[in-house]
Parts: sequence; C-alpha cells; structure tokens
Amino acid sequence: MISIILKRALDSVPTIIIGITLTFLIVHLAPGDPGIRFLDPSQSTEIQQIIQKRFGLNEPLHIQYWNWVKRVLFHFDFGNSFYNGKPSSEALRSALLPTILLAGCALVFALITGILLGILAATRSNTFTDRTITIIMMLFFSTPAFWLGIMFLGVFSIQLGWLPSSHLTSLYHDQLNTIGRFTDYIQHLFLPVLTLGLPLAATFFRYIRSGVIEALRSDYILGARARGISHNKILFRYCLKNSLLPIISLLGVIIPALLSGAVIVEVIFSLPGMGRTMVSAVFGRDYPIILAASTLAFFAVVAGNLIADITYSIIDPRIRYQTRKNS
Amino acid sequence: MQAGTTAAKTLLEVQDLRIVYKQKTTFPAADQTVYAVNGVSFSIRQGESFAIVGRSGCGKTSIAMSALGFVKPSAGAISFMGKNIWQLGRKNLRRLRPLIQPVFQDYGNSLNPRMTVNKIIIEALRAQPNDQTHTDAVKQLLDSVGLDSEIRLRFPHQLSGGQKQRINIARALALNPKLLILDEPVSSQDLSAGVQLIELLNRLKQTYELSYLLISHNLSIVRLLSDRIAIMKNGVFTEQGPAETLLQHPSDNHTKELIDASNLTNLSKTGQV
Amino acid sequence: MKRIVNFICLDKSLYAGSILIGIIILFSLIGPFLSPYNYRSQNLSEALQSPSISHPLGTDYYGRDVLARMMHGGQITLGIALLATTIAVLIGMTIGLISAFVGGWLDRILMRLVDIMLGFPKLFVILLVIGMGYSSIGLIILFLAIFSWMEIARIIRSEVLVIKEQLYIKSAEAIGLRRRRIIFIHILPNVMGTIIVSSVLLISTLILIESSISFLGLGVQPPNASWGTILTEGRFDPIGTWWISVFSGIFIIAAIIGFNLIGDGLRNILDPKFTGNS
Ligand SMILES: Nc1ncnc2c1ncn2[C@@H]1O[C@H](COP(=O)(O)OP(=O)(O)OP(=O)(O)O)[C@@H](O)[C@H]1O
Ligand SMILES: [Mg+2]
Repeated sequence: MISIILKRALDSVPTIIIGITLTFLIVHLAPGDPGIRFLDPSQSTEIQQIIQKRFGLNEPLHIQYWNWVKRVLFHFDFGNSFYNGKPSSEALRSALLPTILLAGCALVFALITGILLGILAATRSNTFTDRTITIIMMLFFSTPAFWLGIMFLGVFSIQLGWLPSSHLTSLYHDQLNTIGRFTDYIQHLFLPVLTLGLPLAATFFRYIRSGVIEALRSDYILGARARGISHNKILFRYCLKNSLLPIISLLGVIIPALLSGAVIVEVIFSLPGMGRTMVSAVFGRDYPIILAASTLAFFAVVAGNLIADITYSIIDPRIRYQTRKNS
Repeated sequence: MQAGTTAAKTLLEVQDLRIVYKQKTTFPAADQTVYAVNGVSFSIRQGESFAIVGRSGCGKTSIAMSALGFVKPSAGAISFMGKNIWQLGRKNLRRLRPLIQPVFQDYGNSLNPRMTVNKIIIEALRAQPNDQTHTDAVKQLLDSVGLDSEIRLRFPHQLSGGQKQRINIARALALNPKLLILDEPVSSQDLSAGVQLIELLNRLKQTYELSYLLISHNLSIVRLLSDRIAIMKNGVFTEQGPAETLLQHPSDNHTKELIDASNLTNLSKTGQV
Repeated sequence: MKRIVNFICLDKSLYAGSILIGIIILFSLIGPFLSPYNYRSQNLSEALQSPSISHPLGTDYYGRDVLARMMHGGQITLGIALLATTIAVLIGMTIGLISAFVGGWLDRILMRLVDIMLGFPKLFVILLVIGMGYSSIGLIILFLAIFSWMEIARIIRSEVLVIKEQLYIKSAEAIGLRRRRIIFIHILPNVMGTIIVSSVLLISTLILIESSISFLGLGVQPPNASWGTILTEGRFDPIGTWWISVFSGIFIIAAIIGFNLIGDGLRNILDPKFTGNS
C-alpha cells in the first residue's frame, strides 16, 4: 500500500515540473513588460532598466528560471510581489483560507445534495418527482457559475438585501463573539458556496441517479431483495456504495474543476482567495504571485488525484493490484 | 485416404514452434509469463487435412494465430510454401495472406458489425483479381456454403450463429485460399448441424482443392474430416499420426482419455456417415 | 435529409437538443440580416433602455441594441467553440490513433503527456495563457483546443486498442488488406460514435470556458463580443441593467443545454442497450 502511494506520488512529479515550467515560460514570454507599468513614458530607458534589474528580469530566461527554482526549493521563497514588495508566499497564505473554505463547503454541499436527490430520484424513477428533479438538475448542470453567481447576487444581496454581497467577513468581524463570527462566515459564504456547489451537485446527481437505478435492477440486488433484506438497507448498503465509486474516481477531475470554479466565484463575490489573487495578478503582470499561485494549484490538483487513487483502491479492492491501464 | 501420396507438395511446415505470452504490468511489477506452445513440429501437404486435438487451454489457437501471422513465435519457424512467414516483411506477408484463411473459433465476432454480408464478401473478392461480376460471385459463394442469396443484404447481428460461420467460410473461399484454418468448427452446434457442416467442409475441400488445419477438442468430429491427427497437451504434441492408426491403436494415455471422452458424448455413431 | 430527421426523432433528448441548437444557429446567422440595428453602432441617446418593442432585449451603456449584440455574440461564441472543438478532435484523433497503433515508448510518452495535461486546472491555465496577452480570437481558439484534446485522445486510444483485437480486424488483415484501409474502413467507423458524442459534449464545455474567460474580461475583446463579453457589461449592476446579464446568460445556458442534450441523446442511441425512447 505504501509503495503504491509512493509510486503514484513519484508519478506526479513530471506533471508538477512540466506544469510549472510551462507557466514560467508563458508568463515570461508574454508580450508586455511589467517594468513599464510603473513608469510614465517620458522617463528614460535607464530607469526602466533599473526596474528590470530589481525584478531580476534583465537576465537570460534560463538563468531567471534556474534562480527561481533554486529560491523556491532551498528557501521556499517565491519572490516578492512586484506590487507591494511583500513575499508572495505570504500573500498566498492569506488567500488560501477563503478558497479552502469555499471549495470545501461547496464539495460537502454538493455531495450531500447530489446523493440525497439522486437516491430520491432513482427510487421514484420515471415519476413526476424524478422528472422534476432531473430537469432542475440538468438546468444547474448547464448553468455557468458566473451567471448563477450574478443572479444570486442581484436577487438576494442587492434586491432583497438578505445576505452580504462581498468579502469573507464583515468589517466588524473582530468585535463579534465566537457564535457571531461563525454566523458572519456563514452569511458571507452562503451564496458563493451555493454558486460553486450547485453545478457540482448536478454532476453528482447524474452519477448517483443512474448508478442507483442500475444497481436496483441488477441481479445481485434482486437476489438480496428476494432474501428479504430491508429496502433501506439495500439502498444505502448496496446501491449507494456501488454508485459512489465513480464519484470517487471523479475526484481527480473535480478538484481542478473546483479550483477553476473558485476563480469565478471569488471574482464575483470579491472573496480574497486564490482565484481572485490570481486574476488580479494576471491583470497586473505580477509574475511572482502568478507563479506561486500556479505552483500551489498544481500541487493541489496532484494531491487531489493522489487522494482519489488511494481512496479508490481502498474502497474497491479489485483494482488494488491492477495497473491503471487495465482498469 | 489418399493423403499418403508422397508426391504432394508440403504446404505448411512448422518446426519446433514455441509461443510465450508475456503480460507486462508496470505496477506492481509482476510480469506474467504463459508458455502456451513448447516446441511443436508438423507439416501439412497440399490437399491434406491435419487436425490438432486437445483440451481447452492447451495452446491450439495459439498455433493457428502464429501460422496466420498474428502471434509472433518466440522460437521456431513457420513456413508456407517454402517461405518463412515471419521473415517475409510486412508487404510480402500481406501478399501471402489470402492463401491462408482462418475461420476463427469466435466466428460471431469475425464479421464487422457495420457491414452487410454482401460488403463483407465483396471486400474479400476485391482483394483478388476476379473476372466475375461481384454480385454473381457473392451469390455463387453463398450458394456453395449452403446459404440463401437473400441473406446478402443482412447485417451480422441479423444472422444465426451457424449462418455467421458459413459467411466466414464463404469469405475465406472468396480469396481462393490453399489452406483453411478452422478453429473449433463444430463446438457449439447440435449434432445434426455438426454433421451437415462436416459434409459441407468435405465437399468444399474437393471443389476448391483445399487443405485444412482443423482445431478441435473433440476427436470424434475430427476423425470424419482429417487425414492425420495430432494430440496436444500442455503446449506439446503427445502423439501424431494417420487418423485411423491413431484412433485404433493409441499409444498414449492421454489419447485414450480423449477417445473415451469423445465416445461419452455419444458421437461415435456418426462414424457411420 | 429525411434520414437525418428520422434519426433525430429516435431520441427525445436528441430531438429537443437539435431544435434548440438549430434555433440558436439560425438566430445568430440569419438574425443580423433581419435586424435594423448593427451590433457596434452606438446611440448614446438610447443608452440603457429596458426591453421595449423597438429594442426587445433593451440597450447597453452605449445605446447598442442588445438583441443585435446577442446575434453577433452567438456567431463568436459558437464559432469559437465549434472551431476549437474541431481542432481538439483532430489533435486528439491523431494522437489517440498514433498511440494505439505505434504503441511502445511513443504510446507511453503520449499517454504521459495526456495525463500531465489532464492534471492542469483547465480554466486556471487557459485564463493564464489568454490573460497574459494572447487574447485574439484565433489564439483563443488555438489555446482552447490545445487544452482540450486529451479526453478524446484517451477515448480513441482505448477504443482502438479494444477494436484492434477484435476478430473482424484480424479477418480483414488475413484477407491481406492494407493497414490504411483497415484503419479507415474497419476501425474508425466503429469509434466514430464515441468520437461524436465526446465532441458534442466538448462543445458545451468550451462554450462554458470561453464565456467564463470573456466574463472575467480576459477573453474576447471589444469591439468583438461573445456572450460572455456581453454578460460582463451588465455584471456590475445586475438589477439596474438586468436585461443584459439575464438574456446573455439565457443564451449561454440554452446553447450548453442544447449541446448536452444532443450529446446525451446520441449516447443513448449509440448505446448497444438502446431500445427506443427511455
Ligand atoms: N493473448 C494472450 N495473452 C496471454 N495468454 C494467452 C493469450 N492467449 C492465450 N493465452 C494463454 O495461452 C494458453 C493457450 O491458449 P490457447 O488459446 O492457444 O488455447 P486453446 O487450446 O485454443 O484453448 P480452447 O480450446 O479453450 O480454445 C492458455 O493458457 C491461455 O490462457
Ligand atoms: Mg482456442
């Protein structure tokens, strides 16, 4: 088991290296010079060169790359933001919490909603209830997060004024007691989590519904039923377990999707997370921040894949000793 | 049986054939090696029927696949009309191939599900220079394997198992082959259908001047078709010789077991046919 | 034509999806000829009108007719998604076929590449690339394709590997057919179904990604506008200018639903267990 984990971890090294190198190239070869942004055009090229030198942009690309790698590996130093001069790692650390909160809550919400509705629809398959839920879920499945977010924002925050429209906390957050802070978080996260979670819930719903329906029809469940095992036990013990498997294998795809979705949601709801940091860094050509955020994102994705693989091989012993090729 | 005539040319010659399957698993590193065929030699002369009989998994199909150029032998030589087929190179092998035609064990899967019977056979006809118009040739081929020509426009899934098998035979005949390799021609069919098929194969052999490499697990079927028989076990031939001699004076225990087993299936009476 | 219609009627989803997409395509292609307004002509005296008879979907900040902009946006959005899908399918098909037929180390390298590229957080990376200044429509199409061929390559490779071992392929080889003929006549038609289903589903994914990027202001740049670009224009006042964000959103959703329905329908029909309408 441990050797499997190690092997898979080693497998993901090239993904990370290639991903980061590619990001580095994209960023540094892109048209536009971050040095120029701080200058007015009348100033001499000398000053421009000074700024380039300060950012380390005057050296050949491979040397810049090598310096960057060295600093990251040996000092865990991603360089300082071009904007405020603070270390990128610090900027990211503070951006991590909102994103993790958002993505985690959305995942949990999506799992619960998807599973419950999936089972409900499957047990009533082809009835009015099933059709209604399925159609609604199809709608959410096809709705872009940004549109959902804007609609929620418009209706619940702006029109009705029920929920805050931006940021993770209120201005007076620090003055609240524990319960107050908790509700403050919930109020701020409610719409973003819904926005990110609903389309995901719809994805889960599709898998669970068809999985449970198929399982309910299988000979093996019919046999269990014939032996007089209770309905609920059949549903949760047998059917659900079988239909959860594809979802776990999906985890590897879900984590990149969550990260991508978080970018949109954070921008809409002005949450100070990774995605928003990334977008403003792209707009502002803040190379160190872009690189640090991408590195982190690649690690998150790779870690997610690893966790998915491991969970899967624990739950389904059939694939434990097989290669991925055969499965 | 006239197969003993020494004048006939050798068609297929197999020498010390060995086939090893390696299944690579990168992780966990547990490469599996299956020794399917462990040194088998035989030859088939023009106009002769040679049968390989053995229990399931003894390596019969592997020999056939190797003779067809699909499974590379790990050692040994296979020559067809004097040419070692595994040293021919891709182009020459392709030219040679029409002469050795297979009717696979799983004949149901040997027809492209997206093609009609007509297309399947015409494709084979096109591979050979042919003076007849295609439709006539197709009708004639279907007729010679005992099928109604109305079947031409159907897709494989609209055919019965036996019909699919006969289409396979018809397609093979379209190429004017010298050697037909029949892998378990009579395995799943009922007795009378089996006897009919054997009669058909005997007739085709005469009209098209074919040689057969027959593969079966059932001696009593094979004896009706073959001049010489080899008994196979665990990748080697335990015994080979003229059909009647081998059946009447088996020298090996395994052969006796196989004879008993085929008597048990109560096919012995078909021997009167 | 009649055969196409009969085929579409085989499955409810396919039927609904085809109609939806048909309408959207007609709207985007023929609409501009029927509309009295141009998507770029500004008329500041008519700025920010809510929907009315003369402007059924209202006007934007510059007094441009939103309906006319939606037609233009449809051309851009669908055009980008369709072209990018075509390129992605071509890349994916080539790589999948090479991988399956050549095998060996080349197969291992290519599949490794697929693994690596699948591990990229797609939107994140595309956002980065396009955001770093490569935002002309041609480059958007190219980058969308570069980051979405992998699933198709993988599907084709695994299907071809399965089909390659089928006995009807062996039979075709035994006949002495050329390899090229075997690939194009016997193998490809049998994977075509899967390719079509995944390409149709890819179209809707790409519509989603393109409009997300344009929404963030990094994608299609003015004066051109995709539905995502248009949506951004109404984003900061979702109540006061509701018609801009609501209608552009509806178009995006309708297109995505349409392609998803077509994909699902085709999958149902191509499923060997298919038995008429479910
Ligand atoms: N492609 C393959 N890879 C690995 N092992 C194989 C492969 N094909 C066959 N084998 C193994 O080689 C041995 C011989 O197989 P073969 O198919 O030649 O048997 P057979 O005599 O034709 O059996 P049957 O009568 O059941 O068809 C078997 O143990 C089988 O499991
Ligand atoms: Mg066999």
